[in-house]
Amino acid sequence: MDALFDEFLHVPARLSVVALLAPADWVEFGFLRDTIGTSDSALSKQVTALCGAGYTEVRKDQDRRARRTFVRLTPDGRRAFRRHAAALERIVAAAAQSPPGTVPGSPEGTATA
Amino acid sequence: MNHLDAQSSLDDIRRLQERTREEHLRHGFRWPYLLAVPLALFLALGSTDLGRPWSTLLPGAGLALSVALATMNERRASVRRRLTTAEFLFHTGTVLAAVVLFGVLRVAAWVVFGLPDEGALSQGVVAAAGAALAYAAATPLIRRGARAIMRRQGEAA
Repeated sequence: MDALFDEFLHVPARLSVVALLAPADWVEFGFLRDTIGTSDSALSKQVTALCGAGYTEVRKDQDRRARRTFVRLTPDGRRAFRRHAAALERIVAAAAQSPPGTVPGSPEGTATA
Repeated sequence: MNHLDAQSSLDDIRRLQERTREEHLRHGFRWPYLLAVPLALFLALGSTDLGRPWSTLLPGAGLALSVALATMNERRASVRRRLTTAEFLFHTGTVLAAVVLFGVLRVAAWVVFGLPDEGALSQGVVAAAGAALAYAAATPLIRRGARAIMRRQGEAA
């Protein structure tokens, strides 16, 4: 496995949150929830886990009509996401360079059955 | 983790990043923006022929209105991000292009239509209206350009 590969980030729900946050500064909780297609509680659980790891932070804004929650990547979170994406790119690139009929990742390449 | 899983994850990442960018663009080009820039252009450029105090008051009013609409739009956005230098230069360039068009239209209003250089239907007012309308009409192109810059910078990051 690539050394930059981040097992914690690779959980699909977390990776989706981080991917949505990456191009922006602050992203509203509701946009994350609707885009991923999850529930408030499930998303809240993932955001809390990401906050615990120091990858995201949360801010609550008081609008005229409602209280809005915004999430953003911390600098550490952004770096971790870039490293993880680079690790994924490397895995794909390694496969493209491997001889046909082998599984990349092993030193000699393992023949596919 | 095999390469197919990795490729699938990368595809998901790109698709989701694109959703964030699209949401930013969609919200950024809503009616407050579509109204703010052409209106500010019209007030700022069209007031040049009106004399004092309108030539001072109207550009200020246009600027204040634009800032108010832009701030209101930004506060309501689901996706917030600062403009990068390239995006700032791009948007500044589009406004400068409208100012250049104003100059051309003003000369045309004088040469072709013989309009006066003062009054409610002066060269400046007509040229400013033309420049503002041209800017509004070019919004789909501006949006496409903004999307291309955002996407290129996203890929470079």
